[in-house]
Amino acid sequence: MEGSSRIGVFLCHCGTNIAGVVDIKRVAEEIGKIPNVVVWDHRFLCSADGIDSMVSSIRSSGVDRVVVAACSFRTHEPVFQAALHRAGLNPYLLEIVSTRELCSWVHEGEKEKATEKAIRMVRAAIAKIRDNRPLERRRLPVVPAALVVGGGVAGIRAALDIADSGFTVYLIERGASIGGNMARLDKTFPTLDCSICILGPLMNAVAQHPNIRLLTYSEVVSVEGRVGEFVVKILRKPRYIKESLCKGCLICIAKCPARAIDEFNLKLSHRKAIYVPYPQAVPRIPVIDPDACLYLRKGICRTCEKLCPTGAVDFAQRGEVVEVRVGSIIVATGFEEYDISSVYEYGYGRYPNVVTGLQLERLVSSYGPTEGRLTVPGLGIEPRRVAIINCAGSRDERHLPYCCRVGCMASLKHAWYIKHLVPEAEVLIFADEIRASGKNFEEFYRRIRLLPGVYIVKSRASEVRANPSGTLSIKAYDPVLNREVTVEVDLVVLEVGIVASRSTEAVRNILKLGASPTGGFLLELHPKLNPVETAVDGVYICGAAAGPKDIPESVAQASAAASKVIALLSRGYIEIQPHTARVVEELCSGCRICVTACAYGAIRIVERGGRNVASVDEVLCKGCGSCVGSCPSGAIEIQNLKLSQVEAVMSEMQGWEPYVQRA
Amino acid sequence: MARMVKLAVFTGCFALSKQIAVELSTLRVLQHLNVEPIVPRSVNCCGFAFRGLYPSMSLYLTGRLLASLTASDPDGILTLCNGCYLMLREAVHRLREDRRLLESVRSYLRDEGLELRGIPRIVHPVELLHDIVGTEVLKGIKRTGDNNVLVATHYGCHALRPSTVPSFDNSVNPSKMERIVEALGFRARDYPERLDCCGAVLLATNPSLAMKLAYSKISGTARWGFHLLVTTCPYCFEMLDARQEAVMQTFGDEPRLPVMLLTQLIGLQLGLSEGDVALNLNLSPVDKVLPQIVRR
Amino acid sequence: MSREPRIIAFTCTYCAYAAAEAAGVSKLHYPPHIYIVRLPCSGMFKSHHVLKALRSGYDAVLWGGCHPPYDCHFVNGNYKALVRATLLKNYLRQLGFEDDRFRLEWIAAGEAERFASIAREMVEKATALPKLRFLKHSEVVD
Repeated sequence: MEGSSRIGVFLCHCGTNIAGVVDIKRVAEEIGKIPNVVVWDHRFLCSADGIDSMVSSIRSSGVDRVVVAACSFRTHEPVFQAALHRAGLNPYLLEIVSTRELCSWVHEGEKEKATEKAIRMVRAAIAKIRDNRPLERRRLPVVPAALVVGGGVAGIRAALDIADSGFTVYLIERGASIGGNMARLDKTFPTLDCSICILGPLMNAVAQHPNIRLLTYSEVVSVEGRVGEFVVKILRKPRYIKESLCKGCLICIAKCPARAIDEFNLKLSHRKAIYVPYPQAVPRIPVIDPDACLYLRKGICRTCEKLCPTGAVDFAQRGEVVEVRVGSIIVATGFEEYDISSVYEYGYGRYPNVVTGLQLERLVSSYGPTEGRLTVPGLGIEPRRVAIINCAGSRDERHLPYCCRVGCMASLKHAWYIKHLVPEAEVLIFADEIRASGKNFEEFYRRIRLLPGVYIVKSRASEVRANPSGTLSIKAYDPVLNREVTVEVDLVVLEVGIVASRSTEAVRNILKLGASPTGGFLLELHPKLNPVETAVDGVYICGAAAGPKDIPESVAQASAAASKVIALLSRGYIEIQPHTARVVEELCSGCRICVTACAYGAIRIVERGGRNVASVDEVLCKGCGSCVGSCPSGAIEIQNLKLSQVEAVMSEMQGWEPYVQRA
Repeated sequence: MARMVKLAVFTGCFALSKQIAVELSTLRVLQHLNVEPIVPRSVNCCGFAFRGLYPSMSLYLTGRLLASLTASDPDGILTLCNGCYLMLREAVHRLREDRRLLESVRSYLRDEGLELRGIPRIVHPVELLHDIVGTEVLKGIKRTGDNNVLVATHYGCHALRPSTVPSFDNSVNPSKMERIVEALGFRARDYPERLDCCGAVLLATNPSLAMKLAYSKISGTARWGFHLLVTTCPYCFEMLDARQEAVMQTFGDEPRLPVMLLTQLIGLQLGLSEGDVALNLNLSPVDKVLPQIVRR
Repeated sequence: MSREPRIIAFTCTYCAYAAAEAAGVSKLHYPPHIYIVRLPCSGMFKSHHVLKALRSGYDAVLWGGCHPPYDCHFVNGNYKALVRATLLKNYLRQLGFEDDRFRLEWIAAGEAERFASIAREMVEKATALPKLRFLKHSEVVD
């Protein structure tokens, strides 16, 4: 039946790109000899004229399958598929041969052989397309709700954007409050805006938005389903506080006798066992830390329970798993600082007065451990001289090979903090270079550089050493002086490289997303053209979990991801690509090997006529063909890329004998 | 430790010709630690001297050395000098990674009638004490010393670096020597100059810089209040112990840091006499700390 | 050398095939003896295809996928290819095929130069290999 099909072959010259190397006339001649094949050629097939003539040629000649020998399918498949559609053919009866990228461009010096190769490539495509079947894209409904994982500034922005367009948003945050790392910052570069003053209103907007369901102190446990209908299980960890009863008076915190290390202040201070992370926290509901609480550890105390005027403390609370259904997911799990104690030479973790940039933010913050007075940890004095070391752990083959993109500007901002709080202090910034390539960044750099007492040493610091008096000595090679310099300082600030937050990996594994080999940043579908999409349909990424970036970029990316989600939700349906796997049930023995090979859980064993056979869920199937490779019976095939088609391609490329028609 | 461990001992040129205390004290201590040293009949230079000038010659020499050291089929090769340790572990690493290189070294050796059969384990003295003998055995030694003695450890650059060649410990933050010192009942502490160079390799080409490095190492270490510095490498020992007086005088300072070999310290703990571990050869002011270590 | 080898390259859409296209875009020349087949993923690896290719007259087979661990567009197809290819390599050796007849390579989408140099190398090696001859059933002596 397929043997009787008529095939149209379109040969594109692409100006001289193809025709300059491949002898199109000769190709047309050779291909024209094949029975039931009609050949046309065009100087620029993808031009409006080329497409029009292609459509009319298909219509007038009555061909029912098309081979296009032109350029990459990646750029032009949609164009030619649309042409087939206009000509009344199913768009999947098209085969594109890349005679440009795979032949003319790489064999420029060998015209004769390139022409031969082009003929073989076109013949192979003809042999393959004879077995192609028309396929249909299918439509499935979309649940009009979205899930945003991570309540930092990116997650907040994305959630607000989606909620504003009228869809329900579930915003999940692992910690007790939303706000993320931005809440830790004292000011933002280059404007020196108060960070929490601009973030706070957004956090409150989230709390009050009628379309946002805020789930703090919660984690994603599992995600099943597919784009349009994800079923997400969320663990709500026990707060030991009834959220509905708590009024946020925080009386409970005052009398709590137990202390624990304060993670929000990056281990620079202590907090109570019952706590809100910081004064502006949203929601303003405390959490009881079970590892510190005297009652939960030893069964004594219960002071907070006695003090609470509304009876909101509930030690019997247990973790609970809730299930939500959403059409789309945004991952915005943010960043954390690289474990800088592994950069041994900088002494972090060995000397108390070596702090990270984020720790300095807490040290100067009005709601930090010192309430805004800058004192050196370990020495207890105001710093007289401070060294800021840029690229700590970054741009270093032993640690993180990439640039953190925020360290340079942060170092300038940190120099400003120090000069602002201790005007007579000297600040030395050790930096190979200052990368100030953002809006108003260079201006900010100039402003800081001209501050009296701020010095920029154009070099990487090689080592930080303690002196017996408790001060630190920095060693660096100074290219201006052309010698090693040693400077004694009271405080060292490391502008530490950033990596994706620890929880990113867990979410990534649940959603089966890709990640960069170092730093664990989530992988976008395409770094240039699809920066917020992922390989998993319906799952989008934004913020620093997708790569190092500053606040405005995170926010812009969050809005981009949100607009993708809004587009999907408001369209209301999804189309599924039809190149899925298909089981030839007569050949299937139900051995289950393909079930284990499938990374998407798309294959199940079902009973058909008293026999177990594999069955493919066409919505979950991505058409990767792992099952095809695994099947010992050749019983599972990708549609339009069947085993027989691969073999036909192989033999046509090999054979140079006259074309033999298949029965 | 059930079986006696057999190790081929490679002393190296410097410990043989100059710092003889290294070999003396090591062999003495090994007798007490269930390790059987095999002293090979013929050896050659480890190749260190040719490393920069003539790399292929250097590798050949190292290969030749490996062949003669493994002739008696030992459990491993114990190198007493950090330079030899670097050469041997680097060669072993390269030969393991590169089959073709191994074959070419073998073919050259065959011309001489030598055979490199297996690729042996290269053992550093610190590795021997920490991983093979074990800190538990060291803890079992009857204490004679004062627990408050604060000991500075000096690994020596070639024991740990370059970090791309596998070594017995973390190349930027090692800890095995500290654990040995603690097992012996002394206090060890990290200090900023811990991984600094002793200067010995520069002695031939840039002696004044070598002296400067040695000075900053010794004076830097001394200001942290250490009672004693221990090392295993004969070159480092030469620089920090034998030349300490010259180094300090060059910069108008006094020698004040007692320096011992780790094996000497262990020997004293085992109850050996000062002569047994060749302590009489030490030139740094070890007498200052001796009463606290050996209480008789 | 007058012999004209024929090599077939099975490449995954997202990495190895993209690298082949990128080689084209960058005009990196390589001999025309290598023919490229696009598969969705290297995880579609089927020993059958390799054996069939060798049987039907190709001198060598290249199987190209994405770099482990994370590059695979389909989660871990490259590992599936690796497992099956390792088994096949041993099997081919037992059957008496030279090692150069089959090669598994990880080629990232951006590694155009790597693709071209692998193509050049394979053609060069295949040129040195003898033409495969398969015994007819009647020739097999037991």
